[in-house]
Amino acid sequence: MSSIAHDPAHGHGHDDHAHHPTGIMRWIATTNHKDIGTLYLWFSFIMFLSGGVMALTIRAELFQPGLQIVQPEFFNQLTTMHGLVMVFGAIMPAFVGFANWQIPLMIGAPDMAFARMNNWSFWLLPVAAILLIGSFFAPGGASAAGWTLYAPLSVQMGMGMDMLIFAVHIMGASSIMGAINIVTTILNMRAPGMTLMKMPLFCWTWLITAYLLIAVMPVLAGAVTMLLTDRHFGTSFFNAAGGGDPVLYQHVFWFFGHPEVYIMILPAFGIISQIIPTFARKPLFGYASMVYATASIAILSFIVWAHHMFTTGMPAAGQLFFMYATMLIAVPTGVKVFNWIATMWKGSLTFETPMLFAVGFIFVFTIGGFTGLICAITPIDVQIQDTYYVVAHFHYVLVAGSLFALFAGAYYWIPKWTGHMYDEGLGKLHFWCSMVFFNVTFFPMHFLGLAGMPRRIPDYAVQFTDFNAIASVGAFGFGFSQLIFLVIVLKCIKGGKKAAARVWDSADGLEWTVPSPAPYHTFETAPVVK
Amino acid sequence: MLDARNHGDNGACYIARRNCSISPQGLIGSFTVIATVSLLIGIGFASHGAWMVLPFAGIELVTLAIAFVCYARHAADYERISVGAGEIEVEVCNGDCVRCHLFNRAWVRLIVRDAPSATRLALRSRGQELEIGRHLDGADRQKLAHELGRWLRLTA
Repeated sequence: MSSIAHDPAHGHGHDDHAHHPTGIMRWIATTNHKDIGTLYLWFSFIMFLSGGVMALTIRAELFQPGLQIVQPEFFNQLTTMHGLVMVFGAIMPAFVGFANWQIPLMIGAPDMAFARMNNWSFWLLPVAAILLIGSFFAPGGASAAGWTLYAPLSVQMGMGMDMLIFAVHIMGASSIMGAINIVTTILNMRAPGMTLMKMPLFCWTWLITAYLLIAVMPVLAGAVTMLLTDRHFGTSFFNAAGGGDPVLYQHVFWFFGHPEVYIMILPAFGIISQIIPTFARKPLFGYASMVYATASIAILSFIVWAHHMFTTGMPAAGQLFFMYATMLIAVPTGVKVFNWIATMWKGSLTFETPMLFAVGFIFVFTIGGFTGLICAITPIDVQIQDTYYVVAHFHYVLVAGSLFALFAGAYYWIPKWTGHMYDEGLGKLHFWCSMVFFNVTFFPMHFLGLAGMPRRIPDYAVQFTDFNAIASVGAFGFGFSQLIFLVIVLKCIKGGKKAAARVWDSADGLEWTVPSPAPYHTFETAPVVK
Repeated sequence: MLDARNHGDNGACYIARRNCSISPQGLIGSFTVIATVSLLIGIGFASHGAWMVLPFAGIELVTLAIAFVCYARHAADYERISVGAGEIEVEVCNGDCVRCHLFNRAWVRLIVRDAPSATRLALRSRGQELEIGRHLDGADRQKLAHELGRWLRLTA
């Protein structure tokens, strides 16, 4: 009586890959990595627009000297919240969105290791965002202490500061849960045959980023908790009158803050390392050296924090140590830039929008890297500390670095996410507008900084007018250019040319072996990597 | 992955293990590295008066340890399918829970479902159905189906 029965009909019904919950509960209760990735990406885009509106208000005020649009107190709130919203609300969640979408697809895993925790990680973020943005409406307004929340200023702020501290705690918890999920997923759930050194570089950069997050998030949590207890519970960690030390806050904050910069740039390196080989039609040059360079950058990020504090007064030996340690970071970063260029060398290059953004990234990020090297030199840094030169430097790294890489990644993978090709013409328009207006906005800031214009001021001396006017025009151009991206994404979701499974002819990796759009459930049976 | 042990003409034993891409030693090593770094940072700050970093580092490391243990509990999951002279015994280990399912070899049916992602296998007998080969990739599942099919045909 024993027998073998084939049951094809039942099989299809039971294993329907297109099946997924519908309605609002799909998004609230989802444990699917693709849904959660989509939520992260939309959240970060909304926060990007919110932070962008703040930036444009700042630039409108700075279009000419004098006070025109906002009061100085509100101006300081805007600069503070712009930084915090962009760092914690836009850039970081966007990379986590990419991680959610891509890591399981790239390593051949069915989902993230802890799917419910993944849902929780995301849904903490809107709560934090409401607290953050809602602090504008608190008595006394939002925090105006700068995104670094330096004591003793932050100890003296109103209730908006408490809301901000709570928001930072919540966002930190979300980041830690996300990092734990990513580490567990990458370490445990790689497909058979995918050794660590066969893993796509995007996964490598995220694994190292997740380690950085786990290492430094408790430092941020500790810093803001000590601020809170200084404010309300009578402690004096940072209050000199009570025996504390305000400079200690700077040490604690920047011990978190400098690795945080790499948390925002390492996944960008990963995205660029996926895109350039595809459009150069060559394997990535120096894969192993890229992995080691990423790890080196992460390790060095722990020993350079005090280059943000050269003007607080430190022994010459300390200045020398932090100066040379900072300059050392140029070595592994240089390895990366050289490897990307070597990958392109004699390749069959084509310049679709992802590649344009990737090449644009290398160009402008390298400028940001070089100005960073200049800032690392102590005697120069003492001159340009807290000037617009520093503002120009970190916007070259974070806008032209992180943001351009995010755009590159979005154009590269959006056909896989939506099943439709994006509008290439509009994509190229978006790139050129972003590239031109970005440089119009931020390049003059180098001159402003070298001429001595301080950052975080709503009014300025009349000799800075021309460059500020140019920067403001560029900022509005850059801001409105991002609406092109929104149009492209909406068009892509609505329809368009169908995307093939392997969207780009020389793209390599497991994500291109599944259909486009990627089915709701993928790799329930692990693929084997040769 | 599938381990097959043949016991001559009387039967065989197949063990299907869950894919886990890191060894227990590797996972412990990864945890040790991050725990050492986090604790050194926390202790360093505590020694300079900023002791509140340390409790947060502790909470986070406990969470990470729980996460690793939760995952590792299932890393050793397996299915042992023993084909005997008169019965088929399936031992399913899921975390701490080990369950045995016995099927009469003469009456059991192997169900092969052709799904879009991969073939799914189940044993069915007297209204009871048990999915098998959940931890295997497509090729190993087909191999298991072929092997079990051969044994069942021998019984018939």
